[in-house]
Amino acid sequence: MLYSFTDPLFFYFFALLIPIYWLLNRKVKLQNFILLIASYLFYAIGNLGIFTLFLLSTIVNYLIGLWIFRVDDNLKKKRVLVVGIVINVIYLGFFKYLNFFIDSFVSLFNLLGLSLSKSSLSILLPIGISFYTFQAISFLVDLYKGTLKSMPSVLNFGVYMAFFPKIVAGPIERAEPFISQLNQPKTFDMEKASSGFQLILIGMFKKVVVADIIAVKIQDFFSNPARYGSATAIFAIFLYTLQIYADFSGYSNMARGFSKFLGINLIKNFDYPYLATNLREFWRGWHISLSTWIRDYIYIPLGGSRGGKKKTYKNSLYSMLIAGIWHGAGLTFIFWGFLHGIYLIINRKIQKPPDPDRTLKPNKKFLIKASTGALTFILVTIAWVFFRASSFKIALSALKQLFVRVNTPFPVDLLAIFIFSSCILFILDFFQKKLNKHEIFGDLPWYFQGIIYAIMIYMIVIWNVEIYTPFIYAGF
Amino acid sequence: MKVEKNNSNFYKSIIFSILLLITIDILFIIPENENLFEEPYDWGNRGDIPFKINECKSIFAENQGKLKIIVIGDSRGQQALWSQELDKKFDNQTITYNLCFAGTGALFQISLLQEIFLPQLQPDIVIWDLSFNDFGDTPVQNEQNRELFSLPRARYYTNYKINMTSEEQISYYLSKISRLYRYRSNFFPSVFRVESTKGENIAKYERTYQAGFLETEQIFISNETDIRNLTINSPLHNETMTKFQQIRQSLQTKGIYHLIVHPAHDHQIWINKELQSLFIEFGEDFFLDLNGDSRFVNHTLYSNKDHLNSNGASLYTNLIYEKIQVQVNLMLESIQEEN
Repeated sequence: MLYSFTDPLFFYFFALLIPIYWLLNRKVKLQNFILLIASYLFYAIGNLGIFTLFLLSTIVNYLIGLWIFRVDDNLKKKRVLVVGIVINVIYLGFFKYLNFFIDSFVSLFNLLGLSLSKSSLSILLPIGISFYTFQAISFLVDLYKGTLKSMPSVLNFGVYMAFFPKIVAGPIERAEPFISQLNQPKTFDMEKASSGFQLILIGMFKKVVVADIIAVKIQDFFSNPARYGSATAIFAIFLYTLQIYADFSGYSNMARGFSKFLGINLIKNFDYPYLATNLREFWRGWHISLSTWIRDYIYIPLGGSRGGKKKTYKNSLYSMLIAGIWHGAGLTFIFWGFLHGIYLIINRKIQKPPDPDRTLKPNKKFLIKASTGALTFILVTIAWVFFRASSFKIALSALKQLFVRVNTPFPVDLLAIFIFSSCILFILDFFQKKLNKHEIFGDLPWYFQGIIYAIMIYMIVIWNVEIYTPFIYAGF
Repeated sequence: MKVEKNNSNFYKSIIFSILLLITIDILFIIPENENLFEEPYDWGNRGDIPFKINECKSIFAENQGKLKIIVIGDSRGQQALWSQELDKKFDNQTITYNLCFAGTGALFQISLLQEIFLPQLQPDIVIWDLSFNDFGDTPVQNEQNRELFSLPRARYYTNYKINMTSEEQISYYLSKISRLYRYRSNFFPSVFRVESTKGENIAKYERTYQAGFLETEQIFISNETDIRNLTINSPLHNETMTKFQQIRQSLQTKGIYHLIVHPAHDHQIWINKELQSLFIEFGEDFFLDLNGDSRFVNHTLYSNKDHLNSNGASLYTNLIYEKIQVQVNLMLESIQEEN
């Protein structure tokens, strides 16, 4: 099982790959071939059945792409594109959402007094299916629109779909920038390796030292919130907000880091979302590869902000609902998307364009930024409750517990973890934003860098003592 | 120019951080030799040993005048004897503490008894849950024995390479090579620790009998209906055998009553003729054989193949009570006479 970056087996795999890959200095095709084999190995070792499905999806999408590329007639091209999109949506829907319908179907049967077992019907969810299917759709659309000017080779398309640092949990790459990198001759670049190393270390630190510790501490609360009082509820809910950020941005950092070692740049998936002062800004910094995908392939084709306020609001809501459904078929994900849709509509309604004539005192400006930032953070946190909870009922119960007094001891451990985690994440975000890059240690004196790396490695080793939690987005 | 400088800084920083980690690792020899580290939490609950000894000491101190009973053994014993229940049966004239530790073999238990329990806790009665496979000259036992005597103190036991996953194997070798890694759990802040997994949370429940095994419900269902003979045919570890005889003699000399109990297993009889005849030689008062006992041939008494659940522990405790009742009453009478 190679799916996880924190699995020691993965490090063996990567350590073996790097010298082979760079020994083929500048031999583009061979390097790409090695990448393809390594990526297939990474995926196939996990589950051969799932790999076969993935392979099938790759072949089908390549053939449809070839068809779109070769057809001259625009109407015919459009028809082929629609067929391609429909096939991908059915594929995604079948594997991702069928279990949800099975659950509902079984519940209905049981209500009618007929017994039907879930296990007899359930199907396996292919790892990374949401990510690679969206990539495939964007590839077909980009070919149709001409954004992707030439048809990539089978090899390059294979790598685009399967590239192991991103296959499990993204980022969702666009074909043009990714494939153009594959076509360039690559030599080992120490600067890229240095920045890759920093990204991997920061990502792993966020995952192991922050996200995993929070995960085990709050799981009891989200299993049965009614047992806990308001203090625990407040900390658990805010801690989840930190956990999902540390987990997912940690993963994205690591994915970018491993890619950099291979001379490939992946899209930056996070841009300090929790420092945002409004919801639109939040979405410009959260899961950027998905939010821009939704913008380019759903929001804008629906009409975007053209066509008046009402239509803009409607498009925002639809787009966010699709973002919710993308995560899973549960009602909680749909409601999470809906809530963000509503947030964005309200945001659009009340946000006024900046008035260049109006100058504010720095203190007042800071106060306004801090209060809007805090409000944004709280709204995002409330929405995360629905994202985290296993059912709608539990989400409501978790929110209700914010106002319920239960005679349980004050959760000192949660408070300690909250202070610790928020300090780490804030400090990292602050310096990354200030320096405008995620690799913040590179410019420091070597001895200072060495001390920081040693401390981080040691903390990762110590924190690894506790239970390992899989990456949250690896489930999508 | 700046790029070149950054590149050379990167090399230097990596080398420096590696040297830093190696230096700290080597310097850890000092606190290790000074016995300043506790055993890591990595395997069984041997990490709980210092905590449990201290708790036992304070409980014995609070209950002076009562008959002090300690229970030693491995995970089977840990899940078998209900200390509080035993004390209740003796009208709380006894004070019992379960000092069984998961993952310990006979030689390890002998060392604990000899070096720590007897001098520091001064028990009146020792109940020793001991099975035939604790004496084997097997890779598992040898690994443990080697580590026990080759280290400044017996502490890190990420051993038991058999059936290890690749991750566990890496962990095992790292713990051999690096002290930073070996003692890492000593530096993991307790506030961040997950409750009811390892450490003090286990010991906390000992007195109220969830006894370090919170899974008291029936989770094990076996399909076996016939009783199978399981021959423990690995050669005996000579050193363990010698030390076992020595500690028994030492207990007898000190007038400490001890009862060896062979644990029960679901639908299995463990066979080792040499040990069986040795145990029988001890006499009925000193040996309770639950191996293949018909009262324990019942799936509902087990949480897994050879670990009892709360139902099984209740039966086990009752049988221990019946076995030591006469001896305990005699000892209690003599205490009363002395007073």
